[in-house]
Amino acid sequence: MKQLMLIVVLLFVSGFQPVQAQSLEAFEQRVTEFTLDNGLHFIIIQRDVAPVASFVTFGNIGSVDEPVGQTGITHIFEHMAFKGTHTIGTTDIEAEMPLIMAMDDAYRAWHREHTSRQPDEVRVAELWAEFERLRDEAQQFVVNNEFSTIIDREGAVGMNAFVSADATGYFYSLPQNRAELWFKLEADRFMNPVMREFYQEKDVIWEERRDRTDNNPTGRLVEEFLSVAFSAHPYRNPPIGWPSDIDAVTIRETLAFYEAYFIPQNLTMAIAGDVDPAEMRRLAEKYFGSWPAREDSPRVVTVEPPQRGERRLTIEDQSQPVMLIGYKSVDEQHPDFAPLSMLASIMFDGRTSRLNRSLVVEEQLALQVQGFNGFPGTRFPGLFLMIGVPNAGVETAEIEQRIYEEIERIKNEGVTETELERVRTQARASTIRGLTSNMNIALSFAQTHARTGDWRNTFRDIDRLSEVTVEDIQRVAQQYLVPQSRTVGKIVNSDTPVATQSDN
Amino acid sequence: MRNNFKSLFLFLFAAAVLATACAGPSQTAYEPQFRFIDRPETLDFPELNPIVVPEVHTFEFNGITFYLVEDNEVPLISLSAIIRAGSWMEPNDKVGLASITGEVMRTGGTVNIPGDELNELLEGRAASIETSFGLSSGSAGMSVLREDFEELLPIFIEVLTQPAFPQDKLDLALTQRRSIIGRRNDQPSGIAAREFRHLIYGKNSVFSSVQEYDDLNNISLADLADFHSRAVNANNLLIGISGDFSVDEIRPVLERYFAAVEQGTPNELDFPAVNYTEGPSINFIPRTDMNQAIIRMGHIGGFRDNPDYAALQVMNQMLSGGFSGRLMQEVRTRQGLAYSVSGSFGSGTLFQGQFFAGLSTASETTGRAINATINEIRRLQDEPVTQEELDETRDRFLNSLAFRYSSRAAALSERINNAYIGLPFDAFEQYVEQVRLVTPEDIQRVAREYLRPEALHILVVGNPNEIGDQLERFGEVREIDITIPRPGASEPRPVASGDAQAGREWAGRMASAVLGGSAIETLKYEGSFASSQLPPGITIDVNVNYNFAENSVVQVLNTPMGSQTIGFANGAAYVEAMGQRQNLPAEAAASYRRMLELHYVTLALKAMHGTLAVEYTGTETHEGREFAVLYLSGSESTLKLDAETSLPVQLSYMEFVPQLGAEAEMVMRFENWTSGSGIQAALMQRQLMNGDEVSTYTFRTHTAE
Repeated sequence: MKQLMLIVVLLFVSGFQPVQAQSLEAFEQRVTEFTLDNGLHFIIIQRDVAPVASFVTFGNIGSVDEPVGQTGITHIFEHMAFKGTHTIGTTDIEAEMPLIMAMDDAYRAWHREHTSRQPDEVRVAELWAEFERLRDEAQQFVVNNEFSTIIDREGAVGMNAFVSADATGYFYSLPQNRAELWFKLEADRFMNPVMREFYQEKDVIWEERRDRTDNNPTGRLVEEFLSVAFSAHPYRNPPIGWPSDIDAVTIRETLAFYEAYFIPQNLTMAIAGDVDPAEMRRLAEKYFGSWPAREDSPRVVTVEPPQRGERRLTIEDQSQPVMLIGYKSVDEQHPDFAPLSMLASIMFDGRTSRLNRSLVVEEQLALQVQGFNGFPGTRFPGLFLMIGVPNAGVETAEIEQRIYEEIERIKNEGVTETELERVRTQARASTIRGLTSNMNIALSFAQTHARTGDWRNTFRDIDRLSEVTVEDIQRVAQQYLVPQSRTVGKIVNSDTPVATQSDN
Repeated sequence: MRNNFKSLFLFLFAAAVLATACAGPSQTAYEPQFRFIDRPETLDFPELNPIVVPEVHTFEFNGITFYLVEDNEVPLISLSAIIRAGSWMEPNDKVGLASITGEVMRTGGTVNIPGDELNELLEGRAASIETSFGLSSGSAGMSVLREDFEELLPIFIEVLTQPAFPQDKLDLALTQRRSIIGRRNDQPSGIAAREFRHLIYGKNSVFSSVQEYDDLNNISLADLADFHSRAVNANNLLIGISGDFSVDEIRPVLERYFAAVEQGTPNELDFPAVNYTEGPSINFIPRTDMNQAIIRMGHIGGFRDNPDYAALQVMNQMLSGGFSGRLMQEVRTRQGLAYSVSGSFGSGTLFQGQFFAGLSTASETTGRAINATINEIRRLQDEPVTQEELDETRDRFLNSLAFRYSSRAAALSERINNAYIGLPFDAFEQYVEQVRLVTPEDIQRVAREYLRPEALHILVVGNPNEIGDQLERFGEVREIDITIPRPGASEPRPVASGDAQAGREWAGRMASAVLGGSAIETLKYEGSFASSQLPPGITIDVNVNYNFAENSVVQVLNTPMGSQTIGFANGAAYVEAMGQRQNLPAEAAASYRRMLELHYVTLALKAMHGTLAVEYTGTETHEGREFAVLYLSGSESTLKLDAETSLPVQLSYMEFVPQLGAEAEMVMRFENWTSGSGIQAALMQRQLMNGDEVSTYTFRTHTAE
């Protein structure tokens, strides 16, 4: 039996090895890299399945980098980056610019009075009227959505952007012969940003916040959970921003943030598709060559102090119960990051994972148990996070207890070689499966380059996972999954069943 | 130095005052430092590289049509089968049967390879096999490494054709679906999508059916086997395969294994007509925890088989297509009323689609957002679109055709989908040609012919306290009740009828036996409590204080970890432990209300005052004891009295238990009647659910006042 098991394991190992080698080799031949003098890095991946290409601008600029009182500013800038430039989205930039800046001054004056201890309501109304007058005056010069309309018209697909705790990314795909359009517009929006319709766009951001957080029970729980789990590190702040900060942020602050962070040496641009690398290089020089390098951006200096005991929170909501459990983990450069990720995979990934088998299938306590390592990000030490959704009539306390028992079992008995081999195979396979679309390849290589300095680490990370041993996994479970560094958050239903016993 | 510093500070301060006090264009010297990049109109794009249409090989074998596309980018092979069956075939009292069948086919595995073993086998090779059924089709798919294909193919076919359907995996599917039913009102956006579908397709149609507890209770293994046998046979299958193979090599492999699939009768894709109720209507679903209104509005859409199909799609792109659509331009960009706006003019091949526009907005701008959306719909009818806007919209579509085969498998799914729903294989080419011919007049004509802004069904999920009367101006607001129906709710409960006069007499005797004529207000018990939730043999000290005058009850549990109080007062239930008080949900409150309402002292007090609705339905004899059986119509419960002493012996009623997804019979048994404080009290009270003991109170003493 033991021998049979070994053969099976060997079979599994051989399964994805050739794929991996083949892919890295294959990609080596199709990838061209260069860095402009200003530090802006390009990765070009040739892939001629169809006459199209995907374009990505990626940077390690996330909500963690935001100054105090300006949470959400990276995201506000993201919205502004679709509002056009000095030539696009305006009928007269010379007339528009002074009005935009005057509107900003007016808003700042209003906000200051409005949020003062004893606001003079007459004054507040006057200042607001002045702000509205300038806003409407500036609005006359605006050509609505011209920037995205130009891109759409050329057949763009999947135009969007994101801001997370760690990073920011802008992307879309175009027919391959329109690559120069991307260069021109991308250079224009990142070299010449205009804070057009800044305050109108805040209304849109408010709606986005209402969609994702305020009117979404899980969104509300996650926001409060992170603010409890982290005392000092900016992982405690939501990328969309705290409401009062969204309200307060001005154009000048946004421009200052842009000047400090959106600099060539902070960005990686990746293009995957049916393109000619030499031509891409020529266009890169032509459009981005004149962008001056700047002083390096400030670093995040705040280090989360050690946690001195379990933290718990509940929020009341018109929703069935949901539970989050997070343990303080490590950043992606730390040697324990790989074993913790493998541990999460063994516990949560797939039908054969430990918690799916026990809590979902056998005991039928949970509708869903999920988890992964590195929340809300991996640039800094984040959380080993778990999400439990109990079945009807099951108390969250019961699921919580069972999860702890499963953790104890791993701490005491470890995991098996078979389990470890299975998650290694899955990790390899999901990397390969992920690299079959232009957008995924471009995003993935840009991100890996930004994080580690080399896109090849997309493949080397798999090797690092392969080196993890069952002993490593048991050790990290013992070391990190401890009550003292745990935060537990729950949605308690405000009008249907809930624990009658104390949860503690 | 110090002085300099101070003056600098003063200067900054003065500047700040100036800036805040008299902000205006003149105060702001701003020199834009733009790096000149001219507008993109100057660009001259080279010719697009040719679009290569991947070759799709097809052949028929054993009644199955196969479609193959070679794609050697990665050494993987994917197979996906479309099954001509779906939830439209379900009996209407077994909603969810198709989807459960699809799930248990996979989770249960086959007789040779049970589901859990199948999981190990597949996940060990990073392979997957999945099966599911939707409304109008089913699907079975497999994705594997090239070298595993031949070994895993027979297993895939076994899962497809000979599922084991074990009871435990059906039970798991049912348990999870019960939880999902209980959670279906958690997300407001989910509520809006579901209820809007009801407005378009009706509540009990195959197009919008929603699974209820009753449906789940009706579904058995035999139903799964029956559905499966009607769904899966060779003549119901279309199979597409893409990946790293050569057609010549793989064809014999496919023929070898698919020969085993039995032929049968192909299902007809015949759907009932949609029973559409004409608008307008304005519908509201209240949720007090929201600060945003989720809005959907629209009406019935059309069929794909319509000469105006292309014009309608272009029109819809102009209305709600991405960032350049009019709704996005107006409602999001110009008015800042929403983050995302969506919409479509659904044109189904098998049944009519829905036309809708949807968005969410701050509660206070609900009315404005609805108006803004309706205005954009009307504007398409009232004003011709400009040639420029039409060209821009059309260019978006035509230019994006470069993406049509951005994966080779895309050619495969296009072909199979067309074949399944009965469209010609070049339906898309025809559509592209029609789009080229659309004129501004066509847009206005189809907008007038097919859009009915005066007859929209409008649905809003939001906070009534914040939205106020904004919806009234659109018509008479109908509130939709989304309470989840409990099992059997549609059938009237059997009402026992009996002799009211005899009932009152028995109740009076019971009142005298319990209270002895004294009108008590409070009753306290001290004792202990055992429960099936606690380990066997473990009991907890408990004091229970009823106040019948105030309609309140307080239980104090003394555990080794400290004391905990659970109470009910002023209509609300709460729990208090370690100095912290937390309100309990409405269901807990309802359960305490019932406990008080059905307490024998409450019943006795009511009987004394002649306010108890009671009927005598007969006498029963158990183990030599005779019981009078009374039906309490107010609480739909049954009370049995000892015929000799007139004291209560047991009280029973039906109660919904979410984990069972069904009602259960709850029984309270009263034993060990003891006199004290002028009344009789039952010092032993056992609670049973469907015959199983749930909890037992054993009291040492009682005090009444």
